[in-house]
Amino acid sequence: MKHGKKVILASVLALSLMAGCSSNSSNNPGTNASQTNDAKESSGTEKEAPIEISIGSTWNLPSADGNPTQKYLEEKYNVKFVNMNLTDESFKLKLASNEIPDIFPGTLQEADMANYARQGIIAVISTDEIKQYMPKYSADIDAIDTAAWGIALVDGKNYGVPRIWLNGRYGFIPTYNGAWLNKIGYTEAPKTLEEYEDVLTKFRNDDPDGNGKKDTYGMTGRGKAARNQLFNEVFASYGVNPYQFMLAADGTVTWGGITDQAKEAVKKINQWYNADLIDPEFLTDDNDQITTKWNSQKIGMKDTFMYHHLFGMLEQDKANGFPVVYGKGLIGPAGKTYVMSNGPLQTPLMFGKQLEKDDKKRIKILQMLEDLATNDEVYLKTTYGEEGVSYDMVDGVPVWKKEYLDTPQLQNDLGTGGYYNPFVDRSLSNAKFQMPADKQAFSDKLNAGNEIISDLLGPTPLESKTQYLANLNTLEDSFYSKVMVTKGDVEKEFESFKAEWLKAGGQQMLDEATKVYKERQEALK
Amino acid sequence: MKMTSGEKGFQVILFLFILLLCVIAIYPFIHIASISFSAPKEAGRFGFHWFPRDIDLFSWKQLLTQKKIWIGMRNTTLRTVLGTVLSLIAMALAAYPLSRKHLPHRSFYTMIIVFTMFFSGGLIPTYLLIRDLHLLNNFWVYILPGLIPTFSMLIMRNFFMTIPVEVEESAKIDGANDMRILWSIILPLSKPVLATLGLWAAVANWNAWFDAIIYVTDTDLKTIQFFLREVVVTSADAEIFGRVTGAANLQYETSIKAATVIFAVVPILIAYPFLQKYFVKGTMVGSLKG
Amino acid sequence: MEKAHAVPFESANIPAKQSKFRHTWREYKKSRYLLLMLLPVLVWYAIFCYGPMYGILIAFKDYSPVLGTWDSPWNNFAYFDYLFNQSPEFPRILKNTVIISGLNILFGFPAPIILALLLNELRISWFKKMAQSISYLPHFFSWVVLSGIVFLMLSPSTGPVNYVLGWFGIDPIYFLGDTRYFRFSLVITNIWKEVGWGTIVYLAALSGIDQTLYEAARMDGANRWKQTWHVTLPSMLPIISIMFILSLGGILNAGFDQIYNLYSPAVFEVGDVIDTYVYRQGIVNFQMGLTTAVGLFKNVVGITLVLGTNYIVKKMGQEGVL
Repeated sequence: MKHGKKVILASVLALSLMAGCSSNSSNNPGTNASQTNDAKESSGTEKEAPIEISIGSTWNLPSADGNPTQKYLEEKYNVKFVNMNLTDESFKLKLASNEIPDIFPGTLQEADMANYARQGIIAVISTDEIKQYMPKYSADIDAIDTAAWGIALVDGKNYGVPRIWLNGRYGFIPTYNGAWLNKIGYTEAPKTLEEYEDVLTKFRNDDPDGNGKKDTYGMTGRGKAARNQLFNEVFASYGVNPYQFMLAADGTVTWGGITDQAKEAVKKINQWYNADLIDPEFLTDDNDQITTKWNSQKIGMKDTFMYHHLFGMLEQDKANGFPVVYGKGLIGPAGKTYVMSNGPLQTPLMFGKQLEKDDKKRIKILQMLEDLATNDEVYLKTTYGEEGVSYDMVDGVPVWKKEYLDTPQLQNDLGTGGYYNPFVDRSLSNAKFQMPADKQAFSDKLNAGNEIISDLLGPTPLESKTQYLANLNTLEDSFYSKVMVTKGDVEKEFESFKAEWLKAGGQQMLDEATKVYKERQEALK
Repeated sequence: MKMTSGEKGFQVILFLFILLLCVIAIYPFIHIASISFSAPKEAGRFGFHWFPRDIDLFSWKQLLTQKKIWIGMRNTTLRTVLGTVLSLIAMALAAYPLSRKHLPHRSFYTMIIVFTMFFSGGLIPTYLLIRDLHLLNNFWVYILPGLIPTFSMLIMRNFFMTIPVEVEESAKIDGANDMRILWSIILPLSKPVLATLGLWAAVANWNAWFDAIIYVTDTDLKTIQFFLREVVVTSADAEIFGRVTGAANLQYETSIKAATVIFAVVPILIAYPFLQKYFVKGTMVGSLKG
Repeated sequence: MEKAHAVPFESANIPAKQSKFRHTWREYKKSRYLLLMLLPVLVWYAIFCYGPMYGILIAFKDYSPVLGTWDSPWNNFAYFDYLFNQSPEFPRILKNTVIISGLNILFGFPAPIILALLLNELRISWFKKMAQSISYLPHFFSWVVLSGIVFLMLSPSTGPVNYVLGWFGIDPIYFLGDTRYFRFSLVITNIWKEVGWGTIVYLAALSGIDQTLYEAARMDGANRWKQTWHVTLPSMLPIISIMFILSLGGILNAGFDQIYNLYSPAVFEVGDVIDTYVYRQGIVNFQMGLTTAVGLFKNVVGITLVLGTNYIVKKMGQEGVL
């Protein structure tokens, strides 16, 4: 036994090296993707060697290489995919280690894009080329918002294919407990801010759940992450989102959080808080807690969900056993039925630097993307699989077979979804397949009549934003959560926050935003 | 031996105090387990969950019929067993020489090892190293980079230092070399500390998730913690990623999460009672005299 | 411990003028088996710890993935300048970090020792075993999973903690939303999660105590308290001191996962620590360099404290880390 441990250790090392050598073929996607092509050329003479494309997507990772969706696309376009199978964390690490995929994930932020562009990681791609090889998709973009073409620009160069998110056109829906509304004498959702205040007061004081205890509130807030829809609907009725750029009366760009509208909204919230109309624990609540409080009838109103979330909650609503009433944006000082919205503009789809020089590959990818976004057959194959096998067409809309809905794993086995197709539910041409009749009706019912508030510039990569926004957000988060519950003078605290915000880089951000906005307006003329 | 009344009172208070501690310590487990066995309405209820009301096994059925969950469990078990055994061996190989005062340049070797507890190259160069060693998508990436937990190794070393020198001196006179002494004298005397450090290594291996995210892309090599994170941390907003899920699954999301958490934690919980016998009083003295 | 001076037997016989090299060689030859054991260990440390060590350079460079670590340009301590001079929040964040982790050491470090001693006093052996296996349960759940339960327990309106405080006429406390109580809540919940797990190493030490020492103490008429003070604690001191030294090394790690999952903008002022700050910066700015620089700073502080305490502990006659 004397030498036992040494032998074990040595063999461990040896084993690891052996195992390593046998499995290293798939380790280095991206960096040496082009080398492998040469070897194969001698065998296939009549057919051109497939172009190798590495995919860095972190969405809907397929269960295995060679899944049906991959095979279908590979044959149709004579390409060969390298599935990098990344998570958000490993993607960033691979990038930092200079393993750059051809097609980037769709989950990135505009700050990522600005950084990648300046570090020479992503490819410049001309807008003309996109319009040439993706004509239908480009027309779809134009139909939604031509500003989409501006958000891929970093330092004057275009760094990606613009993307829009169709659901982003809609807003967050004020939703009420119908049983409670009835109890306090409302037959429909409140329409104005005054009515809303009345509802909150009665939800708190009139024992709407009838249990004889004063243990209910009208609403709580998403205070754990203040910048995500904290008291959405109140701010909306004042016509402002505190975390977005907006147009000021003088034609310059301003930040919602420092406007007078926001100040008035926060005064209202503070007044309600001090009158005990808002769940005082809103400061630490997130969406999970909002949902459980709603389910258990601790609160009777929620405003942090969009129509498609609410559509998914219909079953839970049935189990909860009380009717749900969907309202419209509250008419308040802004005078319109405003609701908060993320807006349809998204960070563009980016490509690895190596595509800049590889015309053949770049054009091939663009052609394929055009089909993925706008060609019915390609779209259906890559998002739903095979008709009659994994889905059926019902009234022109694909519907998954039951087993695929019950076991989402089967969808991963097929390789369908956002992994190969970055345009799922992101182009007007394919929107028709994402909307069964009942969902469309639900959307119409909830969204009609609402006007949205969204960011004036969308995810435009401003340099000052990259530099200051993280600190400014922290400042703003802290301020808003404090001022809402203050016993002091809201007016005074607001003005001192505004001054501090402008000093800490906010002014630079406003200046750059105004400049970019004016340039864009010029370009439109 | 009889207890005085004062001591009896002390025992009662102590009993109650520890009992209270146990109740708050076991609560999370009960809470999560109850939710995993509950129907959606009950699972989504605000408040405490002391037992599953409205029992519903759908979530567990949904979880246990997933193949990847079992793959993950297999890989995690494998890495835990292998990782723990090899870690203990490697730690002993490091701790024993460093505990002997006559080892030349002992403080130099200790220093260069302790240094690594505080300074490391960080993620990028480590990744490049792992890649160059061909450990990407290789089971050994779970074992080798973390083979010697320096913190534990130092504790083992300090424990070895407390073993009286006479014990090994007599063996030396009998002609045993250092390896023999380590194997047949030091290690048997160190069962409690080996059990402790073994448990630490096992739990660390069981709970590790970062390596599976960073170094492994092959689904067949993923661990249970990887899938657990996938389920628990990923956004509930499935639709935004272009994935359509059945209404049933959406509804059961909370309890499926809970079931996954319980599934991932139960096997390692069972390990401790097995090791407990090594923590019984007097283990060491007994073997010293024997 | 005093007996442990294992001076090599023949060292007195070595002629004083013998060259240092030959002396060393003889010592190495004598310890060849020990060195043989140590060799693979050193190889492992060389490959896996020292191999990537050059990555520390990233803290001083404008890291570019395309250029790699070596060829990225030096940035003239820009990250350190940013942290210490430019960042308006850093002083506050450093203060929060030191306070939170200081409180964690002050209260969290003795907690498992005390629990281990209490468990040791329990006479009912089945209950003792059960209590051990139950008390370490929360260690196995991550803070993502536990945070919801913590919010429930500490809620001012529905939480049992405030319910009990109500018996004593104390008004409900918003533990996690009130800047006055947030740090305290972090320390308490951290003890709750880790105390049982922390006892294990001390229970192992307890099990190693020579029972004859207790018998002797009892002969001298020592009661339980005196036995604990004169026999149990001194026997545990070596393990306590090494655990203490090593815990000081993490003084600037206030526990990212816990704070990230429990804090909210309402308590940023007292709860924002280095790690949460860097996390928010990093997400927006893709700053590998800043992360590395902060890590380096934390570790320099850590190792300084460890070496300092190690020195003091050794002066006091205990085995240290080095």
